[in-house]
Amino acid sequence: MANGIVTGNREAFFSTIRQNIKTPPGGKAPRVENPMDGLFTQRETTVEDRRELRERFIQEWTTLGGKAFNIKDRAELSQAIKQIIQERQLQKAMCWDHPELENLKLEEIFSDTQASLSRWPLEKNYSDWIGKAASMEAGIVWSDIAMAETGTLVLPSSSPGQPTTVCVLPITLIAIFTTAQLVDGFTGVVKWFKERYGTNLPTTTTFISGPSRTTDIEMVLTIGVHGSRYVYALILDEA
Amino acid sequence: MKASLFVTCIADIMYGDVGKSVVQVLRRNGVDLDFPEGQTCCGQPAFSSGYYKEAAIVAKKMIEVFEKSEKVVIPSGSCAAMIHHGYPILFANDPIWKKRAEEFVAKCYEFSQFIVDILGITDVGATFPKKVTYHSSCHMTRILGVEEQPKTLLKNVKGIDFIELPYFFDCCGFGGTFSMKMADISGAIVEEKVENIIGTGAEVLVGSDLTCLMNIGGRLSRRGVPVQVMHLAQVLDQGGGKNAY
Amino acid sequence: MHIEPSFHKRYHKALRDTAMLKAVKNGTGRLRGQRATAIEGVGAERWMEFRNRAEAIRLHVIQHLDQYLEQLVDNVIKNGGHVCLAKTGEEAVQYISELAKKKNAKTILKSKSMVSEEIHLNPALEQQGCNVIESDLGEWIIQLAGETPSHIIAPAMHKNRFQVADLFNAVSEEKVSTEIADLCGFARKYLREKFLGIDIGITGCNFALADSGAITLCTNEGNARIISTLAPTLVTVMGMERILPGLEELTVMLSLLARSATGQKLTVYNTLSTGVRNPEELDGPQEFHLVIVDNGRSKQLGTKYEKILNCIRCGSCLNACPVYRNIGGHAYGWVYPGPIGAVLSPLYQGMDKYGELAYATTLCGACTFACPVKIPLHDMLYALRNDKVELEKTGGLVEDMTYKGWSAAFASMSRYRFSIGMARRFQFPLVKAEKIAYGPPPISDWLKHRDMPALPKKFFHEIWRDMKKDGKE
Ligand code: SF4
Repeated sequence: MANGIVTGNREAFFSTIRQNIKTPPGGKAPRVENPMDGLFTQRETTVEDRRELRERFIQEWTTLGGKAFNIKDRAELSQAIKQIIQERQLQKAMCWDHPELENLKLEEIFSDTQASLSRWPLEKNYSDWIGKAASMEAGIVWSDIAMAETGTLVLPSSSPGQPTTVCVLPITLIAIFTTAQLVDGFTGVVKWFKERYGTNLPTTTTFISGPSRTTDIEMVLTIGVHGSRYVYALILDEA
Repeated sequence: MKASLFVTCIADIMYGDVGKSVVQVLRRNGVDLDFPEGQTCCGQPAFSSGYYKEAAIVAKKMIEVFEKSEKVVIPSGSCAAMIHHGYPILFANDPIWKKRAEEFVAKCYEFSQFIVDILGITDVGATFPKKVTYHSSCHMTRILGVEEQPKTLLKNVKGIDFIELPYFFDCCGFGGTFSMKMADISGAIVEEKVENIIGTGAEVLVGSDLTCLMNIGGRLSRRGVPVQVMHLAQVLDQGGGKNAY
Repeated sequence: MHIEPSFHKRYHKALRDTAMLKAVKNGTGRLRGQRATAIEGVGAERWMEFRNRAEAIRLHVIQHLDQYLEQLVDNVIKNGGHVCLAKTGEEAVQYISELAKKKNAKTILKSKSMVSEEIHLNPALEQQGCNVIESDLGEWIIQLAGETPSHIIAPAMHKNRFQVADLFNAVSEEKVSTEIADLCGFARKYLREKFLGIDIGITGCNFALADSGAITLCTNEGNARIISTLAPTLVTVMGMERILPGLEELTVMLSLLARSATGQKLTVYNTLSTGVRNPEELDGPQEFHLVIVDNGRSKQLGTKYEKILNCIRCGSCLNACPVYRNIGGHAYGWVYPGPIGAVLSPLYQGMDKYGELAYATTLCGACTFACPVKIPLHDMLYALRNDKVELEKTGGLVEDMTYKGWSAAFASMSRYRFSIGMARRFQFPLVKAEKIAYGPPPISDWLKHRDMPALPKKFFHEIWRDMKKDGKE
């Protein structure tokens, strides 16, 4: 990718800053080492721990207004998805092109319902896909990692098959992951990011904690303004 | 224990009775109290208005007046906070006075803080069978960091019915010249405080800062609300046996 | 919108607006209640640890602002984005206006950005024919009303549902009811259409990350991420201080921001964007412009006000402030209200214009304690007052006389006792039933809402003397 351009007098802009910064008598404040230390919990988890984390996630997620399913096998997965299709009266859904989702063969589940499932990309040209994407009633994503303490999905757009659009536009969001994806909080997430990306982050990463909300009118909590109104977390057991 | 009383200008001028109660409570609890001549004011009015030079003139005077005192007791949270927080700012660029100020600061205590933390007394043996609520003044709690001591002393008064004031930590709206400069905003704030006090159903409002009490009391009186306003020392002085002097 | 130049007039107008005051009290009350519950959940001690950590992080960043900004600029251009370094608000506005012209942009959608309010971006874009639409629900409401935000995180806090319904019905073809759910539903539908036709998207920036060149957008509604996903050209306007070293620091800040602002554990959507999409990606911006705005900020570096640059715009100090709660945001006159506004406005816009705000406070310190990054706001308000006295050589005529006289009298016990003795002696014409019944200003100001006791018969030093004389000493 070609480098961008800097407009404005870079030299002058920075020399003002450098001139004004003063070193206080005790020296400048050092960089905080391990800023997250002690603020967030992070255990080295076993399968059992992660099943506990699942309970915590479900608790947080439902408090926020989401729905969660604890899924043991394929039959339950199929049942959960069909229940959502029913509940939301879904006709059209789209999903990420993600290896984990592919393994789940979601198309099969959709095939004996009234709803259709389209996998990204819907079309190649913006003018073609945008209309289609906007008409989708649900988006299905895989959460690469999820935080139990805050009920948060972490969705990096780490490949072209996993665009943010799928979790941005539809009024219903369905996120699928296994207990293996669960961490306590930010410590686990940052570790995962560092290992996977270093400082070379994907174009977009979204942290989603529950449905879209606003209190902008009279401070009354209202769900689903711009983002998803209905959010589902389908948590598969890793065993 | 030996200590000096810095009664503060507001108590000297407007609330002599409070000063009297302070003396009685402290003596009853074994304090050998004196009242150094020459004391006036901590300098807060000028400091709060940005007149640091003028505040420093008066502050220096107070440092001199209490030079010989071992401990200084101040029955006003905001004045004690002024000394603790304001004096280091006033003399930040004056090494000699900075040192003298630090020595002074180190021996200054707010009244309830002195009783609980220095004398180690949490029950002064007072009796006051009334329904009481307490307003925490801002500078005393936030700047001086004295929050629980006055409440502890109050709760241990015999017969007292202590009710927590909703939003006890909210400002009463006094703010020094603010109460006059922006009288209408100040009036709106003190009105909130008064509503909260009325809501408790208390017969007596207690506080540790006379300016707050003058403000809240002034509003209660204007509205004709029959809630009595007392300084903590006055409550602790009730039913405490015979006078110590 | 015309803004009345006198603070005095502005706040008096506010004090008469009962509907607004009711809404503001309700709003701030809820927000601070939610915040208190959230802190309880974390535990007071750990919360303090969070604040200490955050303060240290911010302090370090601000004292190394040049290094981190340089790193950010390098990373943004490496990621294919463009950077505009704007010394002033005008420079930023000019850059974005020219860009809009070049792109022939018709529809511009914005997510909340206080800096863009600060530099008056919308009027400039509208003047050249762009349709600029605020997509945050609160911002959109006040845009329709032709007003400015009255709260940093809840810009339309001062409005009730009936006022909102009127504003929506003015742009809606079908009638919208006054039910809040309906109002939100209408906003979703109406704005969704606009999103789909977006030419340029403009966002604010909660935090930029130096080490990756990413910007972070925090919204509960999810509007900023629609913009950053769909806009072919994305412009992010950031105050130059809104920067962090990297992801680790960010996690601390996000945890504090949400709890301080609304009492949530995390904002619903925290989006990290590195700008331009990869060639194989279909969504995300094709062009990204990061506009870094100074506009008075670098002036604060190295001064006693430097810590004001720590601010993460959580709005917590507003909710904590008794003055804000009783006059609302508009009375402050500039973009930033409440304690943070009372400090920022005179610093960024000048003492002459906003110096009065330093007096719009009881100095109760609630703001300082509410601030997640521990900015000593009330100390700065003292310092601003002192600056006024020292730099302008006056704090007002009456004040000058008062405090000169005061220090002369109060530095000597005899003069002090003489003055208060005179006051007691000559107060009698003003006294009625042991209260002061009238008086010249400022006594009359006090008496507007409160009584004042008359000076008692005995001062304490006289009582002390009697106590001694009675032989009981
Ligand atoms: S000054 Fe502190 S409390 Fe106020 S908005 Fe900024 S960060 Fe929040």
